[in-house]
Amino acid sequence: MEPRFDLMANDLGAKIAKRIYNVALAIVDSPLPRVTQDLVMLRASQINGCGFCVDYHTKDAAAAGETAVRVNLVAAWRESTVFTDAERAALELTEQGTRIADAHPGVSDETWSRVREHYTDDQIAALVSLIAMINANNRLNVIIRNPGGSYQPGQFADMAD
Amino acid sequence: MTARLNLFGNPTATAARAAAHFGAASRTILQDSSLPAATRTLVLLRASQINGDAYATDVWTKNAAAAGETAVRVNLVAAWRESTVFTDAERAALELTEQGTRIADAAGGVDDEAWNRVREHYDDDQSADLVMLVALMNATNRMSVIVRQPGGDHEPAGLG
Repeated sequence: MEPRFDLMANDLGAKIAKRIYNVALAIVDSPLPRVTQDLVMLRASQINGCGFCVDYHTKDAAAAGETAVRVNLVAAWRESTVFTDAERAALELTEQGTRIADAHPGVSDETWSRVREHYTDDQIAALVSLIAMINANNRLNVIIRNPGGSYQPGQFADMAD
Repeated sequence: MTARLNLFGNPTATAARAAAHFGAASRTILQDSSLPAATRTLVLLRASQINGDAYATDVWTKNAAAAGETAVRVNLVAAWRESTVFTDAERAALELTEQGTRIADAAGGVDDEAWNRVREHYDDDQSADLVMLVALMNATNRMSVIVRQPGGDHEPAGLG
């Protein structure tokens, strides 16, 4: 399986990818717990069927010490015992913020209130930006059919400014 | 988190007796089918993910790991379409699983393309087993999701 199009071989594509990566780094450095960031990116990537991103974020989560049971239960977090209330609020926001197509009603007030209960303004800014960015990245990779399976944690580190 | 109802708490009740038959039906396929064991597990896991059944997701991810499946394959089941780690036969089974699971609201069921790919890779007995497996897993997913049976505590050993 090869991608339909090599974004990184194109000068403009590579330039844009570098900027996207550095936006992501600003979020990584936010006060939002890193573990929560991985859960959010993994859940959005599962919903959007992005193999490259699922590979990326499951391996990053494992490299950061996340257990297999938590990684494996992200797809069915709602009925799982292994996530905190704060993580559940972030996962619910992720699902509702990801499934907005075709007149879906977006994020409900209930979900938003739960997010406000558990996160500060800075964390919420990071959370909302993270969901937006991962959805953009999912689409980028799904459109060009960039396959998952061979990611190695840290492989993009040299894209940092 | 505890389930809303212990479905099979009363061993002499009709639900528990029905569950015994249900378990026997699942065991027939899980033990006797000529479908590769890894393929059966992929099918069960993908249906459980789509249906948000954490109990079964916990069971089948742990059973897969216990059977020697790699973390990368287990992790990529949710996005198998854009992944390099599944065989064409496994991809055909996963596509059948998705289309056979998402049948609600006149979605159209399994299209001819997906079905033909299944027929390319599996014989009659295996194709029948795949259909039964998707159907049984979807039924089980609904039992667990309706009573909110939580996942997280499974220890691999039995059939789940």
